[in-house]
Amino acid sequence: MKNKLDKDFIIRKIIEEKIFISEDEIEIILVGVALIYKINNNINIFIEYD
Amino acid sequence: MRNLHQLNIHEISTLIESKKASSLELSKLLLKRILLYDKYLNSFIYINEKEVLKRAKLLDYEINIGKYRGLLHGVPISIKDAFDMLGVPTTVGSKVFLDSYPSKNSNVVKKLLNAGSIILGKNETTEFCFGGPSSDSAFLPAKNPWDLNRWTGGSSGGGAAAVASQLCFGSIGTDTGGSVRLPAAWCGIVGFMPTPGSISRTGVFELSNSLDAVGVLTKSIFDATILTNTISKKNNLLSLPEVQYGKKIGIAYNLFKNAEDRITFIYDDIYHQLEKNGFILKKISEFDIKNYASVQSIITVSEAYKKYKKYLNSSRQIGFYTRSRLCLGAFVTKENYQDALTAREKCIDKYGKIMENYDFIILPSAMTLSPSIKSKDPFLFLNNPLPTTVANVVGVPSIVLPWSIADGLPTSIQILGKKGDDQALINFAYFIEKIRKKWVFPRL
Repeated sequence: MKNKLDKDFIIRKIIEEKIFISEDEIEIILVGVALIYKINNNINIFIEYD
Repeated sequence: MRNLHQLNIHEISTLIESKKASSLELSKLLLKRILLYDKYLNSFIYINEKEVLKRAKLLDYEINIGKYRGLLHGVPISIKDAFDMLGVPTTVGSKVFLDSYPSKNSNVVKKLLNAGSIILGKNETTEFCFGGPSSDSAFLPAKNPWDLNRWTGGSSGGGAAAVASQLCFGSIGTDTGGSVRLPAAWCGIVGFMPTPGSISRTGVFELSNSLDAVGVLTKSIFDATILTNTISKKNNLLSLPEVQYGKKIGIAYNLFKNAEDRITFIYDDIYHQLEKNGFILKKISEFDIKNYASVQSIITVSEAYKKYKKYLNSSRQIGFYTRSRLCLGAFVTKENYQDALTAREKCIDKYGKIMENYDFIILPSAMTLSPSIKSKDPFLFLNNPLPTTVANVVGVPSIVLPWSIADGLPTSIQILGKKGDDQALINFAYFIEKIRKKWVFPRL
């Protein structure tokens, strides 16, 4: 599972998936990906410990 | 005396049946109001004036020859631009779908037409019915009639603005995490999502197959019952609402307390009013919406990405706000998605245990009042868990209704019920509507 915010990985993934994002938009996408990772972690904690 | 556009569906219906008002007169009145006001509201993206007037004449003729179809006969309503309707593209607010003409009507549209309603047009939606706000989709975002500098909420924001502005008597929307109920709350109207699955989604834009549901936006609980009955799979899913006493109510105190002040403030008022009327109330101190909202986000993002990723590959026609939300699905792994499904089961179990003690739960519809329309956060709903997500994740009916006005904006409460027991929820909401102060709509 890739849950650390690795900018290179994210950019590579965007290229691999052929997602149309410009250079000036990438910083915003990084914010969104960080949120998704955080939410995934919330879910893992909920499943494991709640 | 109130003008015709200020009446509810059940009031206007009586006038139409008794020939004291005609569908044609009503349609002309509402078309005139749309022409006058919608340039400020952006609530409609499509109006077919010629077809509306033609149909109104036909429905008046039917009344004159004694063919009355029921409570929606000749009543002008609207639908979100997510429902297929012959002759009109289903764009879901996207430039990608501007020429996407359906080959047949959605089941909801079929039922509305069979019931004799007049579909005035299609309402604005956040692009792809996905979160919001967006300022770069195919159409301008709808504005909140209580304050044109504020947002309606999304995604069924156009319908909510149109109903609140009394440009139509009701609207049909879709709801994946609150898309009917949040705009209803911020625009000061009723938003009802019956138990998911009660209304057909055939011919309706799909955002998340697991969580999507259809709901109604109306001026009253009574009207929500009429519209729901018309479009639900089962004939007469609901009886007309009646007041019932003595139910056990849980109130999510922690959510009211953590909401913005103007929402926190209504808690005591609701508690007092219900206690005075003989309800058994219990304060819930730890109703945690974070887990429900997390599950809703991951499932929605993942399913939407799988279905629409092709549109991210070759085209910049999708606005950046929607692209930025959609592309997050690329970062949800199969394991993450599976975990979200497991967590959903756990949420259902937890909710079931809570509901062993209550008939209903009252919680805020949203944690804030309507925000500025200039908000530029594409991840607004990922950053701020919505109390409306609970019902989609757990699969239960939920209704929001306005409660009071604070600083010129509507406050609202949400009621959650038990799966399949939509009637009890409607009855209780009807009671709350009765004890609330008389509601007023924005003066337009």
